[in-house]
Amino acid sequence: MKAVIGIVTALALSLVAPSAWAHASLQRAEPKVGSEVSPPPQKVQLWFTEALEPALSKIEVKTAAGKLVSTGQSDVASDDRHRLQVGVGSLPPGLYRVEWSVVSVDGHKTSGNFTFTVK
Amino acid sequence: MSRSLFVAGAAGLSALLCAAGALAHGTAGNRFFVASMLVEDPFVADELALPTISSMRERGGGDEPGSRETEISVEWAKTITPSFAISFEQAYSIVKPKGEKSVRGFGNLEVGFKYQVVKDPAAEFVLSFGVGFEVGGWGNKRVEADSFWSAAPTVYFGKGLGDVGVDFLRPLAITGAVGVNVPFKKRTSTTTFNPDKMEFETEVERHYKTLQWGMTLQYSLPYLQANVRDIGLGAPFERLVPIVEMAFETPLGGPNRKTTGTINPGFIWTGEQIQLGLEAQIPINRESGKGVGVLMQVHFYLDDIFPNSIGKPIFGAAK
Repeated sequence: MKAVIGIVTALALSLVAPSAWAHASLQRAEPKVGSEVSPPPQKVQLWFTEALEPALSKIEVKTAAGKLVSTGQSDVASDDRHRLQVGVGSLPPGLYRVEWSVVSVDGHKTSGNFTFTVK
Repeated sequence: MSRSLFVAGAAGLSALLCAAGALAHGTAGNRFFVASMLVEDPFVADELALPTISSMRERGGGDEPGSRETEISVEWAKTITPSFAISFEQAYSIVKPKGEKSVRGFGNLEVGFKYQVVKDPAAEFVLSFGVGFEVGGWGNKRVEADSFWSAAPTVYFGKGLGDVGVDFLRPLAITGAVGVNVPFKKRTSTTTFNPDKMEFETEVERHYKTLQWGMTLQYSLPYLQANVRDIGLGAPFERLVPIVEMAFETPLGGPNRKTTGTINPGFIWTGEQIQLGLEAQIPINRESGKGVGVLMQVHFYLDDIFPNSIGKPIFGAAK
């Protein structure tokens, strides 16, 4: 039993220190997931729990009909590798779908999507 | 209650507690499935559950007192390929009859093989097949470790409801497992000397196949926050997954075919590299236990902790 407690403690302590080895999951977004916003955003920004590989991480923003409205390349912020962003054109009122796909620095791939509404 | 009945009860309870050997977290599309603690889930992954601790009371009967069985187990799962994994589980049991000395010892080693057949990210669906072996004779007979091997071929599935049209249902996921445990020995004969009658007596215990089935309902608050609606949950709730696990066992032979099992409501908190689980264990009938037990687990995602060494498949690209 003491050995078990010792091993668990050692493993748990090893996890206390910040580490870059994990799947990147979405921490928050701007516009917020499922939100209604006004005025329309100029860009979509996503914050992840892990640092991202810029070349393998992207965001696409589409209308409810599936038309791509994000402009240019997605980029990982140079001052914060947890933040991924993409510009969007002038968005008329309506529902928009954000589709993201990222690879964390340890090579794990995650993806997701959500919607927001421009009033 | 005779000793054999007590032993049978303890063995049944032990089997239920042994079913706690559930590993494997995983993703299918947007869905992250936590590693459930009682019902084996459908993913293959590099993981370590250390420890899983369960404690539950057994109802007494006749002259025999009730007892409490506590089990501490460890399970390690290793991916051989991205779709195929092998797991090892070892438990240590402490059986404490009321008013008597406790009996303790290791149970049989359990070795499992699992192959992930289908993974449909868009549908958040996964299907796997596996077989688990209990290594007979490995453990201590005092805690009723069987002297014979058994195998349990099992089908596993998981389905997230992210594709349904109702927002508040989208964070919900269902996983399940259905298998048949097949003992490799049909009966065990035990001969003892009765000094009163001055003769040897032989007791025959028959071993029957059992249907092992269960499911989980898990409502992912992380999924709600990231895919449906950011409702502003802060720590620790934004990483919490309320879960109900249900695990049952139905004998397929013999005079008593009553289903036993527990329903376990609880929570799993999932971090980037570790998850913590706590569940109540509610027996479904008298034969399944007495009162409410407890099940807890510390679980390490080895694929995230050691992505370039023991946390990746031996053959093939990492997931």
